[in-house]
Amino acid sequence: MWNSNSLRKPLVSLFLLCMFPLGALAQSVIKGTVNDETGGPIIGATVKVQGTQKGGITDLDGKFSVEAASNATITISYVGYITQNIKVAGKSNLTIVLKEDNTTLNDVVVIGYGVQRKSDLTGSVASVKADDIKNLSTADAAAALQGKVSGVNVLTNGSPGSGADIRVRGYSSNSENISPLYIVDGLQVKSIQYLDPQLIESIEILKDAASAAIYGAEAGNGVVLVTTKKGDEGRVSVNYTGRATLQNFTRRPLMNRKDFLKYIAYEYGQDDVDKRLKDFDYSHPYYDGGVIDQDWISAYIEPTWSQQHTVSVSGGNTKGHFFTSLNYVHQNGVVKGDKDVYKRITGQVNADYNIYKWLQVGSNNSIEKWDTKSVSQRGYSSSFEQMIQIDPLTPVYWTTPDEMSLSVRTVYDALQNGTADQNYRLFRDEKGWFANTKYSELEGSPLAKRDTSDGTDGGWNINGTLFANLMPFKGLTITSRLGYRLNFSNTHSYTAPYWIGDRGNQSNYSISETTNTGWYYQWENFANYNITLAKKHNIGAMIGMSYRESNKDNSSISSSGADILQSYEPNFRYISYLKDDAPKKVSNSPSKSASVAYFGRLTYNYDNRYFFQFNIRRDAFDTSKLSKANRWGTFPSFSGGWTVSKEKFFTDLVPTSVVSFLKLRASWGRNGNISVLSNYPYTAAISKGSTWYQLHVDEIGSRYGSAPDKLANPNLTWETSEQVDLGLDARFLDNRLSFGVDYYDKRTKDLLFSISVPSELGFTSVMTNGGTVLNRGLELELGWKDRIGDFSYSVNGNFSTLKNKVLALAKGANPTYRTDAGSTNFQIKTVFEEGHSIWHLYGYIYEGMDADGNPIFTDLNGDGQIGTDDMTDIGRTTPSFTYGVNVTAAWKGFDLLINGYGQGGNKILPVIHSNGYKNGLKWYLDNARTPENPGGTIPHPGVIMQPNVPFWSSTGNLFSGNYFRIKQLQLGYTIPANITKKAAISNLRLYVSLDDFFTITSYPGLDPETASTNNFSGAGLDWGSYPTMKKLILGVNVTF
Amino acid sequence: MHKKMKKLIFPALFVCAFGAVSCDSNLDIDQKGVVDAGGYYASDADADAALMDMYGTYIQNVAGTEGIDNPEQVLLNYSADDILAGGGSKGSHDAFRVFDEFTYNESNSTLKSCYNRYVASIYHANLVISNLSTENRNGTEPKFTSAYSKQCVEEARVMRAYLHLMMAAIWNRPAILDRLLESDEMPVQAESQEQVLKWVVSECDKAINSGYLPKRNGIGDKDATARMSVGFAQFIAGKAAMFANDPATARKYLGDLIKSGDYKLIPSDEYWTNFHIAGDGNSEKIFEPNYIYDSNAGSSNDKNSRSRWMVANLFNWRTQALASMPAVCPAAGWSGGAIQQDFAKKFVEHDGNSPRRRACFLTEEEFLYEVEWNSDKNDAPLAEKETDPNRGIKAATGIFSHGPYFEWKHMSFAKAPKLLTGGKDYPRDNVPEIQAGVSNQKNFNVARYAEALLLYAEACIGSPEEANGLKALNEVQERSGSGKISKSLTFEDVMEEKQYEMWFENCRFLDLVRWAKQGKVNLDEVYNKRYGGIHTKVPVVYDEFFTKGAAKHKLYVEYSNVNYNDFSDKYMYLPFPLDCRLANHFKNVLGWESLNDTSEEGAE
Repeated sequence: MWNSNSLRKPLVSLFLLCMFPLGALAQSVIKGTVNDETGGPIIGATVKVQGTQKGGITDLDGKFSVEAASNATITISYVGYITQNIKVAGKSNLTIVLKEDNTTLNDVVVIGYGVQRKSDLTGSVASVKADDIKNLSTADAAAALQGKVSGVNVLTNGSPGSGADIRVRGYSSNSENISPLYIVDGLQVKSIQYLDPQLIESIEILKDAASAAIYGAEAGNGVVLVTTKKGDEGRVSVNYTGRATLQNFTRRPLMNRKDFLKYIAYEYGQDDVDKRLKDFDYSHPYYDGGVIDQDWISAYIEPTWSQQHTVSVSGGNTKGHFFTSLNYVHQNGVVKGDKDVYKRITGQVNADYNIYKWLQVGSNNSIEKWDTKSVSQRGYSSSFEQMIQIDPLTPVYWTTPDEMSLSVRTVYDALQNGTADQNYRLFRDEKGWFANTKYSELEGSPLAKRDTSDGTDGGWNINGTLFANLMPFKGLTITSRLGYRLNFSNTHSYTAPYWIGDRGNQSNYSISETTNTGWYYQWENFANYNITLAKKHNIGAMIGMSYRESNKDNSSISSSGADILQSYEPNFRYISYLKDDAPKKVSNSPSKSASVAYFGRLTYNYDNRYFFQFNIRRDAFDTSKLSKANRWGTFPSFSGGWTVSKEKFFTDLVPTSVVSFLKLRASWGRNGNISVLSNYPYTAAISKGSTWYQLHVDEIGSRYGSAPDKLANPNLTWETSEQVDLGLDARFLDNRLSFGVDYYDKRTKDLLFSISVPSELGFTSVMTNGGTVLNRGLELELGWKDRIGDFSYSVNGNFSTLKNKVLALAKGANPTYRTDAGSTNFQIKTVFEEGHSIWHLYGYIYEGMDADGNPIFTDLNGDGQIGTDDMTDIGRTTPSFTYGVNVTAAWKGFDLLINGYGQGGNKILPVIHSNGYKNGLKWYLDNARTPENPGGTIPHPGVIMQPNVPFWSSTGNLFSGNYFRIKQLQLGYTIPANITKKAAISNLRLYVSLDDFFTITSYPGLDPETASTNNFSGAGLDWGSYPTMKKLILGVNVTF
Repeated sequence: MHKKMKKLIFPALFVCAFGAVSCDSNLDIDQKGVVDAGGYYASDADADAALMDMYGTYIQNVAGTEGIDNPEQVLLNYSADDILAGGGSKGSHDAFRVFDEFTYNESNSTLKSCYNRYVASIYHANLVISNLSTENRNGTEPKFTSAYSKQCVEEARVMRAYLHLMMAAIWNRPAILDRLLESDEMPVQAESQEQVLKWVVSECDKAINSGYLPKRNGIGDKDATARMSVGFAQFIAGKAAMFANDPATARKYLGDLIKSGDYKLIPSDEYWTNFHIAGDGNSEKIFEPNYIYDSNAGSSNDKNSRSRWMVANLFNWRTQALASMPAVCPAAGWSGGAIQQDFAKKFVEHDGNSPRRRACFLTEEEFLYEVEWNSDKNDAPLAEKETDPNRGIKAATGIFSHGPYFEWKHMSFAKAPKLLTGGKDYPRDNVPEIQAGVSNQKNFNVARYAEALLLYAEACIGSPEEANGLKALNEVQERSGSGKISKSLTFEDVMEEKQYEMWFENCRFLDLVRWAKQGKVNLDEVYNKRYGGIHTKVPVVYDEFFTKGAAKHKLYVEYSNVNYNDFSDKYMYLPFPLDCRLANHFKNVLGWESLNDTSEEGAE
C-alpha cells in the first residue's frame, strides 16, 4: 500500500526546506515607496520583478529597492490591498499608492479537496479569516467562531480546558453525536480546541449539504475546515503576542442569611427554624458580631490571573513558505486553589517547498502538550451544586472541635483516641477545618469536595499532514496527502479516606492510572483538473479516494481497599507501590476502526455567470459500525448559481456603484451521520464473562456467566440528512455594503431509535432506524465598511433563525424521555417526541395561584387532578435565533473592537432547589407570595417545599434563555512606527479588553450561556454549571 | 531520472495507491470479548457459563438494588400492615411511601423495575433451558447434552418456577414463559393465577424427579443454599400449592422437605444471625443468593448494585437525628424501614424479651440504655445514662414516620451488638465498608426453613396430618423464645406466629392477600380499621430530654397527616407497569381493569 521511495525526494526536500535561505536579495537599482490611500507607509508589501526571481519587501517607511531592467514591470502586493503592476518605464524612484481591497469576492475559500473563488460558490460556505479572529482572547479555535457567522451556534463551558463545541444549522438528531466534522489542513480531527486562533489563516464552515457532500457519511452536521497559516512571501516576520487575564465570577444570585432564614421559615415554620438555630447556631469568631452569614460563592471563588503567550516566525519566497509558532496557555480557574487549571503548549510547524515547477511538497504539524485539573460541576453532589445549596448559616471554618457536627466529631475523637477504623482525613487549611452543614443532608463544603481527590490528566497530541502536489501539465493538480494523529495521555487519581460528613466520606484508599494511546492515519489521493474552453466555458473536475484508520490501545489499572499501598507518602502514590495483595482492576482492549471513500466533483461555469456543481461520495465503514451488507453508502449533491450582476441587462439597468454584485444560489444534497453507530450495534453475540456468581458460601472464587448481549437488527444504518439551500449574495455602493441571505430546509432521517419490545423477550428494547427531524432557517448577514479620512470602521451583523421540529419517530417508537437531573427529584424531563422541537422541556403549565395561594396548573386531561399526564411541552432547550455583531474602528493608532453574541427562544429550568435547609436562588424569595409580598407570582415556599411538586417542573420555574453578551470590548493602540523602529520593531500594539463583561439577560441563575446548552441529556436544565467568567485582559502584540 | 519519466511515475504511483487501498478487507474487524451466538451452548463450559449467568442476573436484578431500594423488598414489605416508610420528611422516601399509602400507579418506577427484573431473570433461566434441552420454539435438539447440562436445565427450571410464583402472587396473571421467545414473538398472558401456580408445581415436580437437581447434603452443607436444590424446589412447590389453595399438594412437598432432615432451625440465641453474615448458609436456609465478596470479579458499579449498599444505609438508624453515633451503626443511616409501632407493641407483648424479638427491634429502654453510644457513660449506672447528652434523639424535628421502637433486623452491623451476641465474636456485616464501594455482604433472604414449617403447619389444619402440622408450628414457637407453645393447630396461631417470625421478609402482604381470598382475613379491617387505620397518620418520635429540656430521656410520639388511599380490593394485586403493558398488551384484573384501554397519553 505504501512505497517509501515515492516520497523520498519530497521528504528530503522538506527537510532541506527548513534550512533554505531567505532574503539574500540583489542590490537596488529601482527605488520606491509604497503608501496606502491615506499616505501612510505600507510595511512589508511584496515587490516582485515580473519574469525574474528578483524582488523584495518594503521596509518600515514603506520603501523598497530592487534590481530591475528599465523596461521591466514590477508587481506590488499586500494582503487586504489590490495588487498593482507598475511599469518602471525608465524611472528610478517610484511612488505607489495601493488601494484597499474592499471586496473579498476574489478570496479563495477552501471547499474540501480543493479551493474555489468565493464568487464562484454555489453552496453555503461561511468563511472566517485570520483578521476576524486575530485579537480574540480565547485560546480555542471553536470558541472564536461565536457570533462571527450566521447558522453556527457555539456551545461553551466556563471551566478551564473544557473545549467549545459547534452546532451547524441546528440540532438534527436524538443522539448527542451532532458535532460537525472538523478538518484541519486536510486532517480529520476530533476537536479544534488545540488550535490557538492566532495560528489560523481561515476557517470555512460548509453549512449546506451540497458543500458538505464531498465528506459524505460524516458531514450530516456540517463541516468545519481550518487552514493554518503558511507564511507570506517576503522577509522573515517574527511576532509575539502576550496577554494576562484577570478572571472573576459574574453573578451572585444566592440568598444571604437574612434571606435564607426568611425563606426556610416560610418552608418549615418559624418554630422549626428556631429549633434548628437553637441546636446549631452559635457565635463564630470569623464573622461580624459573631453572626454567621456566609456567602459561599465568595468562599469558593476568587479572582485569578491567567496568561497566554505566542511567538511565531514566518516567511517565504517564490520557492516556498514556512510558519512556526509556539503557543503557551495557562488558565487557572476561579475556584480557590489550583484544582481547576488548564495548561497547554502547542508548537506548529508548517512548510511547503516547490521542488520543481510541477512538484510541490509540504507538511503541516502541530505538537500539543496539555494538562488539566478540574472540579466537579453540574451534577449530583458536585462541588458547584454544593456551593449553591449549602446554607449561609454554616461557617466556612470550624475553629475548634466543639463546633463540629456529630459525625465529624465522632470521627475526630476516634482519630484523637487512635480508635478510628481508618486514617480519615478531615479537610482543613490554616484557618480551620472545612465546616459541613448541620442543617441538611448535604454532602459537605464545596471546599472539602474540591479536596477529596488528587489527580492529573494530561498528554500529547501530535497532528500533521505530509503532502505532495504534482502538476504534470497545466490545469491538473494531483495531490497525495498523508495525515496522522498520535495521542498519548495519562490520567492519575488518588483518594485517601476522608470524612466530610454523614454522606460525604470514604473509608477506602483508591488509586488509578489510565494510559491512552491512539494513532490515526488517513491517506487521501485526489486530482483536480481545471480547463477553460472557448474562453467562457470553465470546467473543473476532481476525483479522489480516501482511506482512514483509527486505533486505540488504552490500559488502566486501579485499586481500592482499606490498605493498598506500601506507604501513603506523596512519593508512594503510584501503582508501582501497591501491596502485593491489593485488589487490582486492570483493563486493556485495543480497538480499531477504518473507512474507505471515493469521491468526485464536477464544476462548470459559463462566462462566470452561470455556475453548476455536482458532488458525489461513496463511503464504506468497518464492521464495528455496519454489517458487511450495509457498509456502503452514496451521497450526491447538486448546486447552481447565477451572477445576475454580470448580465448585460442588469448592468445596463443598475450602475455597479449602486449594486456591485448580485448572485443567486440553490443547492440540494445528501449527507450522513455515522458517529451514531459504534460497537457492533447491528449484531447480537454472546458476551463472555458479563456476569459472575460464587457457588461457595465460605470460599471466594467466582464463576463467570455469558449471555447474548442484545437483540440484533442487521439492517441498522447511519442517519441521513437531505438539505435544500437557497441563497443570495449582494454588494452595494462600491462593495461597501454587503448583504447575504440563505434559506435552508434540512431533514434528517433514519435516526437511531430504541424501540420498546416486551421485556419477556429478554431485553426491553431493540435499535432501529427511523424518524425525521426538520431544521429550517433563515440566515442573514449584513456588513458595512467605510473610511472617513483617518477614521475607518466596519460593522458586521448576522442573524439566524432556526425552526426545529421532530416530524416523525421511527415506526413503533415512543417518545424518548430523559431525566438527566433525576437525582434532584424534580419531575422535569426532556423529551424527543413527534411534533415538537428536539429534547424540549416536558413539564406542567403554571397558571398562577388560587385565592388560598395554592398553585394552579393546567389540567390537560381534564380529570380534575394534576398528574404526570398533565405534563407537556413547556419550551425549547435550543435557541430559535442567534445573532452576532462585530464592530471595528480605527483612528490613527487606535483601534476598537466590539464583538457581541446573542441568542434566544430557548428556555432554562433551574433544578437546584432542594428540600431541607438548602440555599438557592434569591429570585424564589423575591417572587414568592407571602404576607410581606402579597403580589408575588410564585407560591409561598411552604407550599412548594419538595422538589418533586409540580411547581418546580412547571412554567412557574421556567426562565427565558435569551441573552446578549458583549463577548469582547477591546481598545488597542499601535505605537507609531517612527518610535518603535528604533527598537527594530515594525509593529507594537498594546490593548486592553473586557471579555464577557456585559450581559443582558433576565435569567436569575449563574449564567444563561453555560447553564444548560453544552449538555445533551439535560439540555435546558441548570444544575450548577461552571459559568462564563468575566475577564479583564491586558495584551501586547509585537512584530519584528 | 528524466523529468518526463518522473512525471509519469508519480501518477502511476498514485493509481497504484488508489487500487491498493480500495481493498475493503481492512474494514472487517472482529468484535472482541464476544463469541458467535450460533456456535454457543455446545459444551459443559458453555452450559456452566449459562447457568452462572442465570444466577448472576438474578442476584443483580431480583436480589439487587435499583438505587436506595430493592424493588421486590419495597413492593412486598411496605404494602404490608406492619412496616412504615421512614425517612427524613414527607418527601424523602416517597418511593417507599406510595406503597405504604396505596398511592402508587401503573407508571411507578419501582413497580416497573420489579417486573422487568423478574422477567429478565426468567429469560436468563430460559437461555439455559431452551438452549440445552428441546424446550424451545421448534423442539430443536440441543447442540450438546451431558449430565451436567441436564443439571443446569433442572436448576434453571426451579429458578424459573420460583420467579413465576412471585409474579403470579404479585400480578395475578403474568405470562407463563416456558421457553425462550424469539424476537418476532409476543408473550401470552396466563388465563388465571391458578394456571400459573399449577404450572409452577408441575415444573418443580419435574425437576425434583429428574435426578439431576442438586440435593442438600445434610444440615452442614452450606453451598447447597446458594443455588437451586431439591429442597428449594419442594419449598416452591409447597408454597405455590398454598397460593393455589391446594393444601394437600403443599403437604406432600413440604412434608418431603421436612422429612429429608437436611434442614433444621438454628438455636434461639442465634436467630439474629439468619439476617447477618454469621448465618450465611446455616441449617435453616433453603435458598439465599450468595453475596460473599470477590474483589476480583465485576466492576465496582456491579458490586454496588448487587450488594444493595444504599439499601444498607436505608436500614440504618437516622443517626443524623441522634445525640451520638451508636457503635452498632456502620454509617449514617436513614431509618427507612420503620416497624409499625402498634404491631411492635403487640410483638413485645407476645414475645417479651425473646431473642427473636430482640433480633428484630429494640424497645425504648433498650435503645436508650442498652445500646452502646459514643459516650463515656456506656458502663455507668442507669441514672447517669438517663441524663447523658450523648444518647437519645437530639434532633428537635425528631425522627419522621417512626415510633419509639428501633428495628435492626436488616441493619448491617458495624459490630454485632452485645445485646444479641452476648459478647461472642461474630463476623461483621459491613466488611469492608458500607457508605461507598463494595459493601453490605448480607445475604438477601429468599427461603428459610421456618417459613416452610409454618406453610406446612397451615397446610395441615383440618387434615389427617394435623399432629405433624402442630409439631412444625411448635418447632418455630419453641425456637422463638417467646414462651408460647400452641396446644392445637389453629389458623389464628399460625397467622400470628408467622407475622412475628417472618416480619419484614416479603411474606406478610402476599399472605394477607391469599388469606383474604380464602375468606380468612378481612383486609378492610386490617388496613383501614385496625389501630385506627395505620396508613392514615404518620408518627414522629421525639426525645423530651432534648426537645423540652426534660431532666431525663423520654420518648414521645406526635402524629401528622399523610396523603393516602384507603385499602381496597384493587390493591391486592399490582397493575402491570405501563410501559410493559403497552409493549406486551397484557390485561390487568381485579380493580385495575380500567387501565387496560388507556394508551401512553391517557394513562393515569
